Amino acid sequence: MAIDKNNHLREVLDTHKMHHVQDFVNKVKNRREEIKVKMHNHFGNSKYSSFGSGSFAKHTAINVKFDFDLVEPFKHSAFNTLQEMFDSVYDFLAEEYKNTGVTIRKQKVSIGVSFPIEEGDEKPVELDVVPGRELNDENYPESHDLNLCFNEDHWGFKKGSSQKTNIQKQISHIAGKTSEREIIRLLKIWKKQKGKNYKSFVIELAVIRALDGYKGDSGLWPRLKYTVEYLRDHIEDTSFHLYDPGNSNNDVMATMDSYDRFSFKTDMESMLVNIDSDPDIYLPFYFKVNEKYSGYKEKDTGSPYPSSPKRFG
Amino acid sequence: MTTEGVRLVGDFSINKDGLLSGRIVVDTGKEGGELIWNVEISPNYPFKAMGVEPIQFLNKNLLDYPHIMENGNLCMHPAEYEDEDSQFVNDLEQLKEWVEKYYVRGEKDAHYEHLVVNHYPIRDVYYTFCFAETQDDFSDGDYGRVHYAALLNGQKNEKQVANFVVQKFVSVKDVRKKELLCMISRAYQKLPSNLGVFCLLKNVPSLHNKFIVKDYDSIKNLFSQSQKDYIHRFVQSTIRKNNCFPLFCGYRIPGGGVHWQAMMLFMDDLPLVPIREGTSKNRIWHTDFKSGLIQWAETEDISYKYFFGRGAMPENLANKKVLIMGIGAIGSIVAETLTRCGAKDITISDIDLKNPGNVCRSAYSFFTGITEKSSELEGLLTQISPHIECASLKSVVDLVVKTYAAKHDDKRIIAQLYDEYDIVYDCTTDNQLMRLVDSTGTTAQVINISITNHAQDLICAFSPNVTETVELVYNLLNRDTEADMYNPTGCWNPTFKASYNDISCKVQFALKHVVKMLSRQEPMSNFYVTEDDLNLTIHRL
Repeated sequence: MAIDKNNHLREVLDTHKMHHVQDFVNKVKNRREEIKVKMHNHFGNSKYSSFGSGSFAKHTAINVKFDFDLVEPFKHSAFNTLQEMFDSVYDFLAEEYKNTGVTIRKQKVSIGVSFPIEEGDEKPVELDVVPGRELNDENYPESHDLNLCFNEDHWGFKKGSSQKTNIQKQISHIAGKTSEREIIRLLKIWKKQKGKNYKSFVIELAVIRALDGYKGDSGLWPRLKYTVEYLRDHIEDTSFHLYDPGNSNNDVMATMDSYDRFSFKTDMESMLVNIDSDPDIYLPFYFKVNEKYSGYKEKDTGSPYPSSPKRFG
Repeated sequence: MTTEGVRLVGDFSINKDGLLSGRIVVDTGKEGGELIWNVEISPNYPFKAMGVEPIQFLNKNLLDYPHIMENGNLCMHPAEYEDEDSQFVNDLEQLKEWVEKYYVRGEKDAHYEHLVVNHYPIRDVYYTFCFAETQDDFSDGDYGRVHYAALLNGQKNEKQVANFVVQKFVSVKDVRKKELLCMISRAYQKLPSNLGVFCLLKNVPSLHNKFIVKDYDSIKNLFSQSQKDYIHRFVQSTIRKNNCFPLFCGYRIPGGGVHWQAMMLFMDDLPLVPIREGTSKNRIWHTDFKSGLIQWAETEDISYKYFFGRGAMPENLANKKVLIMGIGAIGSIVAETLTRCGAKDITISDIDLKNPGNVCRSAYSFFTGITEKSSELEGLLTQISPHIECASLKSVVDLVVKTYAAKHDDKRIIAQLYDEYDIVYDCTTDNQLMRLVDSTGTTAQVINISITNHAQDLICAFSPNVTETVELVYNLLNRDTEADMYNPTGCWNPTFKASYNDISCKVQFALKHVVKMLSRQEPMSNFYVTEDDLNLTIHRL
C-alpha cells in the first residue's frame, strides 16, 4: 500500500517529541536552575534576570538534538569589556565546578557546561550559558538588546568583538507559529539524520519566510513540499537575505558561503526529485521515524541484512 | 617557393642520405639586419620521426637568444600539415615569428627553464639522479655528503640506465653533520645508501644562461676552496669503497629552492690536482680541478609540486589521512588512484590473501604470487609515489574490533581507531562492519563503496547512517542477486562477475565525484552510479 505522506510525517514528528525524554529534560532543567542560582548569588545586582533560550524555548527542539541555553543579561556597568564579561563567567563556572567532573569550555558566544553522564542516560546533561551585556546603562529592561561576545574568530569578527542581538525578539518571532514550527522540526530531523551542517537558525528563518502568507493545503506534506521548493528556488540566490529578528543589520545568510548555499539547494532538489519518483522508499529515507519511540509498527531488528550476497567489492 | 621576408641564398644541395641543406635569409626589418640561417630538411619531411623535427633552422651566432639550442638550431614545435608545401610555408612563418619576437623585440619568456644538459652514457651507462626539495634550506657555500639509494636499473638506447634517488644532504660547512632530508617517503629514506658529495655553487654553471658548462675550467671558480678541499677529503676516505661517486652541484633558481646537477667522478681518473700554497713551514696543500670535460649525469627534481605538477587532487585533500578497509577489486583501485592523484598518507587493511584469480580485476600483479593483499598493495603504492606514507593494519584488527564490539555496547573505544583518520573508505562489503562503523559515530568521514553483480551499479554512501543509505539503494535497484555468479573450484563463496574495465570505469567515475565533494567543489551527497548503453549516470540522494 502506498505511503500516506501526511501520516508518515506526523509519525516522524510525534516520535521526535521531547516528552519521550521527559526524565532527561527534567534533569537538564534542574541543572539549569542550579546554574541560574549560582550565577545570581555570585553576580547579584550586576545582572538582570536570566532566562531560557535555545530550541527548547523556541519549541523547535527534537529529542535527538536539542539545546538548553541560559542567557545571562549583564548590566553595562558590570564590565569594562565584553571579553572581560565572557572570561569572568567562564572563570566563575570553572571555579564553581572545579573537581566535580563537570567540563566547562569556551565556545563561540557561550560557555558550555557538560555534566558527567549518569547511569541509564545515553548522553550527558549539557547546557550553554550565554552572557550578554546591555548596550547602554539601563537600556535592557526596555529594549532587551544585548551585545554578545565573540570569543573566537567567527564570521570575520575578531576575538572580543561584539554582535548585537535580542534573544527575546528571536523567541517571539517564532512564538505562535505552530505550523512553521512543525516544518522547522521536520527539517531539523532531516539535518540531524543526514549529518548536515546547515545552521538551524537559517532553517528556522527560511521556513518562516517560505510559509509567510502560505494559503495552500494545510497537510504536513504540502507544507513541507512548498517549503522545500521555496528553499530550492531561493537559497542559492545571492540576493536572498534572512535578517536576525533580534538585529535587522545581521544578515544570517551571510554566514553561509556559496558552496553551502549550493549544497543546500542540491539537497532540496534531490529530496524533491527522489520523493516524487518513489515516495514509499524515499520519504522514510529522508524523514525517518524515531523507532525508539514508535509504537505503531514492529521494529525489524534481528533480520539478517542483506538476505543474499548482492553487495560486492 | 617563397614567403614574404624570406629568400634563398644560393642553391640547396642534397647529400647521399637524402638530407637537403642550404641557406635562407630572413628580413628583420632593421637596416642591414638580415639573419642568415642554415636549413636542413630530412628526407622524411614533413613527417616528424623519432621525436625530431624534420626541418632545422640553424644559426650559431644566436646562442644567447631563447630557444636556440647548443648547435645553433631553433627549437620549435610547428603545427602539423598533411602536405609538405603547407608545412614548409608554416615552418617559415614560425621562423619569422621567432625572429620578430625574440630577435627584433628582444622578448624573454616569463617561465623559468632548467639548464640544458645533454644526456649521454658515461662509461657505457646512463646515470640519473632524482632529488626532492629539503625541509630546511641550504646556507650559502654549503657542502657535505649526499646519501642516495639505487632504484631499479633501466634501459635506454640499448644501454643500462643506473637510476638513483637522493635521500638526504648532510652538511658539514657550519655545523657538524646537519641533515637536510629530501621530502620523500620513509620507505625511500630507509633504502641502503650510497655516498656522494654536494656543493652549493656561487653561481649558475651555465653558458649563454641556457646550457650547462662543459669543462672543469668553466666551473672550478664557482666552487669555494673549502668545497674543493672537502671533495679531496671525501675521495681520500672513500676511494677504497667506491669506484665512482656523484658530485652534486647546486644553484639557486628563481622562485626559491635549489636545483642540482650531478657530475660523475671516477676514482681511477679523478679530475683533481693538488695546489701548493706558501713554502716550507707555511706550505699548505689545496685541491683544484684540472682541465677536462665534465661527465654530467641526468638529474630530475621530483619534489611534490613537480611530481604531481601535471595533475593531482587538491592538495588539502591529498594531505588528509586516509584508511582504506577492504582492498579487493574496488579498494585496490581506490588506493592506486588516490596514490596517483597525490595522496600522502594511506593506511590499508584486509584479511585476505591475493590469489592469481584476483589479478584480472584489481591492482595486483601475478608476479608476486600468493601473498597478503595488504603487503603487496603497500609495496605497489610505495613504488608508484615517493610522496606517500603507506602502512597496513594487521589483519587481526578485524578480530579485535569485532570481539570488542560483541562484548561492549559503548563503541567509543572503537571509534578512536577510526578517529585517527580524516577519511575512511569502507570497500569491504562486510555488512556487520558497516553497521559497526556506523554505530561508533567516528569523527572520520566514512565513505562506503560497493557494486552490484556485473558491476551494473556502484553505490557510494557517506557517513553518518551509511547502512540505511546502502540498504535503501540495494532495495531500490533490486538486482537479481543469485543468477550468474562465478563459482571458483573448491570450497569457496561464489563471487561476482565483472572485468577490471567494468569495475574500474565506475570506481574512477565515482572517485572523481568523491574528490570534488570532499574538496567542496560539488555538494556532498550519497549517490549511486548506473550504466546504460551510452552513459554512466550519477543519481544523488
